[in-house]
Amino acid sequence: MSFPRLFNQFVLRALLREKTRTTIAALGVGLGVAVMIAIRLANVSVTETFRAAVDSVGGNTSLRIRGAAGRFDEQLFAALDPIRSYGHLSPVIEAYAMVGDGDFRSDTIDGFPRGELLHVLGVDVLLDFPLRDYEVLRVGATEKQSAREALRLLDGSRSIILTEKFLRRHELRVGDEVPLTFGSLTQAFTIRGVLLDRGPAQTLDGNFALMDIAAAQLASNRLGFLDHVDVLLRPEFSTEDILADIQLALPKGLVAELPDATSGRADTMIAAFQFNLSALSAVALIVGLFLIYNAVAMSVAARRAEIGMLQAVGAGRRMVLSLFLTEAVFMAVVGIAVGLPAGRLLGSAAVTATAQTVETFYIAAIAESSASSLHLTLTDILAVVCIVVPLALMAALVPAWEAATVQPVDAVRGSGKRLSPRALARAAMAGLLSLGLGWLLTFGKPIGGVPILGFLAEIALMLGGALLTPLALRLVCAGVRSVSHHLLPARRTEIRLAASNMEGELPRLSVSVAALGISLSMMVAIAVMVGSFRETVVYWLDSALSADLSIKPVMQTSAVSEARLSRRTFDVVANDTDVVDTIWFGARQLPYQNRNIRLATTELEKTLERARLIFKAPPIEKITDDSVVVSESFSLLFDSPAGTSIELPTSKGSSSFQIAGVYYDYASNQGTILMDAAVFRQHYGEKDPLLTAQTLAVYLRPEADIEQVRSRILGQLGPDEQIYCVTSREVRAEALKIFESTFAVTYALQFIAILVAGMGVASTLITLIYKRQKDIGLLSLIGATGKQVRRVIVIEAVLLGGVSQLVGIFIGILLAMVLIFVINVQSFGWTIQFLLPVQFIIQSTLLVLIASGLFGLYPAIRAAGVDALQTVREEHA
Amino acid sequence: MSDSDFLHAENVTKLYGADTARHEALRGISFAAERGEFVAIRGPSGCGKSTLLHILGAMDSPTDGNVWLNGRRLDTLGLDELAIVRRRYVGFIFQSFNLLPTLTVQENVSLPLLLDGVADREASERSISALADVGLQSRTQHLPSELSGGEMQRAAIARALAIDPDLVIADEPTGSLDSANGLRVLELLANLNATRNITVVMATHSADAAAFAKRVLHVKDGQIEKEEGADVLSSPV
Ligand SMILES: Nc1ncnc2c1ncn2[C@@H]1O[C@H](COP(=O)(O)OP(=O)(O)OP(=O)(O)O)[C@@H](O)[C@H]1O
Ligand SMILES: [Mg+2]
Repeated sequence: MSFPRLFNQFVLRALLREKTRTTIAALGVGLGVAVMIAIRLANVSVTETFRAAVDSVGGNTSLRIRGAAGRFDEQLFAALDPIRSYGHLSPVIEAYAMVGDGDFRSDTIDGFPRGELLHVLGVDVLLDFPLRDYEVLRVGATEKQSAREALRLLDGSRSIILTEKFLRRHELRVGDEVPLTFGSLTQAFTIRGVLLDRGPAQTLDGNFALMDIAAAQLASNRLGFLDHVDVLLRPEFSTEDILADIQLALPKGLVAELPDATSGRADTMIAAFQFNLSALSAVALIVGLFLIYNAVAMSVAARRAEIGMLQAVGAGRRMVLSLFLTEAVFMAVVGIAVGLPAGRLLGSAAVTATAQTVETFYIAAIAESSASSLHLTLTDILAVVCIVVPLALMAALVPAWEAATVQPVDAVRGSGKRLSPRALARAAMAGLLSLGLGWLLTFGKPIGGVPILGFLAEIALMLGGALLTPLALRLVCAGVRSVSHHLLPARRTEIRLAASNMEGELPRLSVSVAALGISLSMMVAIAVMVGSFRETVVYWLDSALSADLSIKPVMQTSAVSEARLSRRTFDVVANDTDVVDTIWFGARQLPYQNRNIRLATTELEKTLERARLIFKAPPIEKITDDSVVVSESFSLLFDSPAGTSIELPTSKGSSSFQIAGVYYDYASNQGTILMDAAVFRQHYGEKDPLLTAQTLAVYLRPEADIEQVRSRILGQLGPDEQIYCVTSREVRAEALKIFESTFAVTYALQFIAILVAGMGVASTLITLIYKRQKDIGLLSLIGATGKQVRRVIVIEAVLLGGVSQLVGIFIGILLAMVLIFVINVQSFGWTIQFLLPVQFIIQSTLLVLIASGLFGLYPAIRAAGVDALQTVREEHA
Repeated sequence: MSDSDFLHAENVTKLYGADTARHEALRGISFAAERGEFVAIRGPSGCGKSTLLHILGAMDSPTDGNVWLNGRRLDTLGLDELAIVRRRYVGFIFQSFNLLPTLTVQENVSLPLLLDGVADREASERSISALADVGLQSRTQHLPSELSGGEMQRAAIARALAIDPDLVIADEPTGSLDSANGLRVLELLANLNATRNITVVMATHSADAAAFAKRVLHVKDGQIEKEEGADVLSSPV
């Protein structure tokens, strides 16, 4: 018979006939594809949205000039004259504002500010129009407005041009006022024009505003400063050739770079966000592969009888194999078709869910706008096909080959061969070796800043766990068998049957259990890591929070936006009768090596005395003019222990500083340098460092009533000063709240892992039941009731889930240790105390057992429905 | 209840399939056996021997007609009740594939007892003694795949024996054995029939096998064609 005809008769018809089985298999493949694609899309999309945001604001900029130490004095702009011969210059202020009407004033705090984020560009319109693609709509007219007309629109310090998207979303019109909060001050701005949806206006899904540069300086409290100067080179110059020349021509303290450099540095900001997603994606990938493997293996295993029959009627082995491999490909394709759109939806959900967990408002905004723009590319589809189709073939090959090459002797003697002790011992030895290798790999140094050896160690550990699975299964089965009469005396027979059934299928089950165990291990690992981190931070918070009140602007400072407190706030606080002392902190982003770090300023002497920093390395002895204190993450990221010196860019070029101490800081993983205000003034030329202050720690008289002081301060400040004024207990609560939302990811992960464990157990058992139909029939002929048969299968399900969880916990804890002691330290620069979340482990184990049992019900019901006589009859036919 | 009511089928019919695929495997068979009888059922392939055995052995229900085993009416029982009847009162031996491959011989033999809630110790004593009765005392811890065909059939007999059954159903028990092993299995069956007063109903193609029975039923097309008493039979070889 021809192949297509056979395919039609034996494959397609069978698939249609067995609708339930076909559906389960296709859904299994589909779900696998969906989880894989979802996380991939989410990751890519967040990066892309972020890039796009940076790029679209960049416009045609060919070069960017910025201060070596970030923001620089606008007087220096005049010194850029020599550069004008190369091209066109435009000075820029880039700021972020929160859109809102003063409703978020709060004496109680509420995690994140949930207003909308607006990316504000302050430019000299005349200079900037050639650089960026603006299209300002003239009121009541359709043609484009000239730069000069736009300039007129932006006169006055409270004028702003917003995008058509933004206006439509908020039902605003030209002439309306919109309240914006820069730092702590809320002010109303008048909408003077509309930007069409192109160029920079596309940033953040339309949350973009154009202002005159002077107005932007005023609003963002940056009078006298510029963020950067963008350069459009004349066509005859090429950027690469000219970069060095320009650099030479620049005054001291300024540097020129390609606009990409900004986005490269800023990329590290989304690293933490992506770390969460990547953890999910690793789980998803393994889980997806497992689901696909199982679905196909199940479907082919179910058809062994047909395979045998085909051979009996004279189809060659090769023909049989290719028939069933084609079936596998067919199912894979159906699964992919189902999985791709499902993955897209799941991806948006994943991004939205993870966006809740990031601390910076800006990243959340990016993530939200990217969730709505996820799209599948041809590459994604090809990648999925390239992974799924070979995997499906592999999954089909084993059972199809087994069936096509059944030895007569095996058929007569039955399948009751136990895995030989030697094979078991060999697998276990290999497993131990792999664990040992993993341990050795943890001693490796990061390569290029990436803990590659750490990740390899994780892989070695997982492999080791997988190889130890057969032994674990064997031991658990034997153990359960021998203590069955103590466990559940009334069910001992069913327990023993279940255990010996499993021992009879050790090789096949080991594959499933290992795969399930590994996906569960990731759940455990992440839970252990997050839990440990949480406890560490709680400890740190408890000792580090010494101030009675802490005041910060409502538009919180993040890696991209600086929000400052107003002068008035300081005055009001300092003049309060109950306030005995205040310490202010300011921070700015500083380009250092290939990253942005935080340069924090404070009254260092006072800080060391009052705020109880926890020092890792030699607590400071004496502060000299050139000494700084750095955070642990800085010290680890840049390999700069206490006692060494570092070269920092300053407004005068660069200077060398001595590291006088390393302190623990879990507030930011960016790397922080803590510098005394006087030193800062000397090197960074701020006239009034107080103006850069972003947080104010307030110490009260011991007998003062905190609540009274707080309402007095808030009352004096009035409604236009948007600040958080919180007690240390509230700060602690806020930090913990962020952790709870990070835990939300863990719960999502736990949910997925448990669901998959249940499905994996069910599909494994369904496969086995097809294979064991005769045994089940015989069992019922011997006199097992339907209930007893069902119980046997459910017990098998629980045992499978249980051993998987056992493997998962064992490997998960090892993985977590590597994450905590190696990977985290190398990539974030944080020391975390290892802590076992016992409650989580108990709870997840119970959930896995329950889920396995529940998911075992379906195969159990199918098993109880096996027609015993039919199996006897077939045997004798 | 008289002894002749021990195993009793009355006007039993069995229909398979529906419409055009409909097939009448048993057509109004009536049959009775006394306690301790050894009955053989013979007939051409497809005549309904196995179907009748399954119904007598509480493995299947008739489409029509009544069946009693030791005073219990079987044809009205549900699946689980039939399972309980089987594990308490009926031992059976098929042509092949009688044992669960993942259990040892002794575990296989004690399984019906354990399923019925008999205590571990008692089940193990009874299974060991049953295995000794069939000469398999040295094979108790082997897996079925490590036994010969004849040993497997003897293990199946031991399993039937262990529950101390009222009735043993044997469907071609010697069908896949050589004549020496076949003879041994038949002798065992005849022996426990004689010494323990267990009723044996056996389907077979072979006249030699049928010769062990005291009574032979000839079935054709789902009906009893004729019956031979023990006196008519030639003595066993
Ligand atoms: N499940 C079934 N569905 C349909 N027909 C069946 C079924 N089981 C048996 N039959 C039919 O019933 C008839 C009697 O079958 P049975 O197995 O009782 O015959 P038998 O006398 O045991 O034959 P053999 O000597 O070959 O074992 C046969 O014609 C068979 O095709
Ligand atoms: Mg038959």
